[in-house]
Amino acid sequence: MTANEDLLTGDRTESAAVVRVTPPQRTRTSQDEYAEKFGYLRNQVTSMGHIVADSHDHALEAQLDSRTDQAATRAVPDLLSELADMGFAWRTIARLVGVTVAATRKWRQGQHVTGQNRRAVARLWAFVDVLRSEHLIQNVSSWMEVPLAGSSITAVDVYARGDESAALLLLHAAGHISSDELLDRFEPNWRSSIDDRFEIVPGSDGEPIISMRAHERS
Amino acid sequence: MKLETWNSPDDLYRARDDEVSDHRPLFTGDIVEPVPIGGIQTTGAAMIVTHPCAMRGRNAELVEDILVAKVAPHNTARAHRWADGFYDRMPLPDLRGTDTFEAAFFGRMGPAVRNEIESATRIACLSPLGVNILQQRLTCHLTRADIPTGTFWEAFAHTYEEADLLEEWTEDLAGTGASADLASEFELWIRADNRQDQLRDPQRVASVRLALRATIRERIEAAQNPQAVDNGRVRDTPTTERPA
Repeated sequence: MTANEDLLTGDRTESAAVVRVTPPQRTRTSQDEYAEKFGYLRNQVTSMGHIVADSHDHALEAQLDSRTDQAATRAVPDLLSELADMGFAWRTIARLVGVTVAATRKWRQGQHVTGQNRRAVARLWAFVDVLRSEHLIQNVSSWMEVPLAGSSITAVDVYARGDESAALLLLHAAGHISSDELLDRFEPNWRSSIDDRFEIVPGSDGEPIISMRAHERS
Repeated sequence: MKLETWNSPDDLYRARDDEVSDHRPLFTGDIVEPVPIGGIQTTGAAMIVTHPCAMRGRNAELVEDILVAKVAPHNTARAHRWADGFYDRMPLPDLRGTDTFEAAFFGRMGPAVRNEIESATRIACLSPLGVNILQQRLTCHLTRADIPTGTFWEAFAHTYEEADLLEEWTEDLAGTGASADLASEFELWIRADNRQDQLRDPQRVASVRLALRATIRERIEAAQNPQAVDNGRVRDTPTTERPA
């Protein structure tokens, strides 16, 4: 190599004193191996957890479908009467089935029910039946009317949105998800919608009064 | 300030047209026609805006003058536009069928006479959401306060619940011969055993409903089998007299 070539192609920043060193191979300790093994297991468990959760969701749906099929063979007035005997308001039954109060009144009197509505009534009955028999919730109507996690959303609101919401409620009833997690899935913005500026206090006439909370006034 | 709106017009109504039960007591949000409003109209539709607690006096009798708002056709406006506008009115989409749009105008409120309201036709009753939205909008119009609908429900759900129970009581017992004066007997029943107070607790409401349904069954059974009453099996309110 000529001096000129060396000038053009050589590494002009490298000192002749620098000695190239190859990093030594790190010796793997037992701690490294544990970390790797448990990391692997964790991935496996997480993956399996997702599979089990999906399978559980399907199993809950299948359970609800099966009981709905059984209930659908029964007379609609009987199913409605049993729901009423559990303490549900007629307006709540109507809302959960997706019809008017007047429609449920007609059905109780024996008027024709379409196949779709018959199934909706049967599904509600089956849902309540699962809550009572599998999750030991005896007073389902009260359970469904109590606001969740400090919000104004109730299980009635959740169920009324559609079939997938019923599965969410079953998971909650079984203790697999908290009411916060339930609401996160149902209404992701639910926390921002909580408005606690007001409280209900008894008035001097015995009737409730809406009053601004003390900390809001200060 | 964002006011609550609706997903479907059906969300706002409990009943419309022939769905309205004759047995349901008059309630806030009911729309009746024809009704004269003092200084506003000689006839036409009107919405009751008086609060349930102020609508009835002693023995649950309606007061003589009831505050109502004129109901009239309105340009169709989608739900989202009502969240931050039209504060001076209550939307009534699909009030008289699909693609109709009316509103109750808070700037045109006035007293209507009890007899005129009672003799008018009730064309709609609002759902709990509808009543809450009405109260939210009315409060906002009058005071510029934005109170969440959930707060109104928390404070006044028991009044809606009581109206529901009276409707059920009247509907199930009417014509059975089990009662001579259904409304007064219900009043006695609901005031007994602390039931009216229990309606204020969401966890206790269901038990009051169950008690009501059990009482209804007993009374119907008693009407069909007077001997059972004579033996003292059926009796809840002491003033209730079984028809001879």
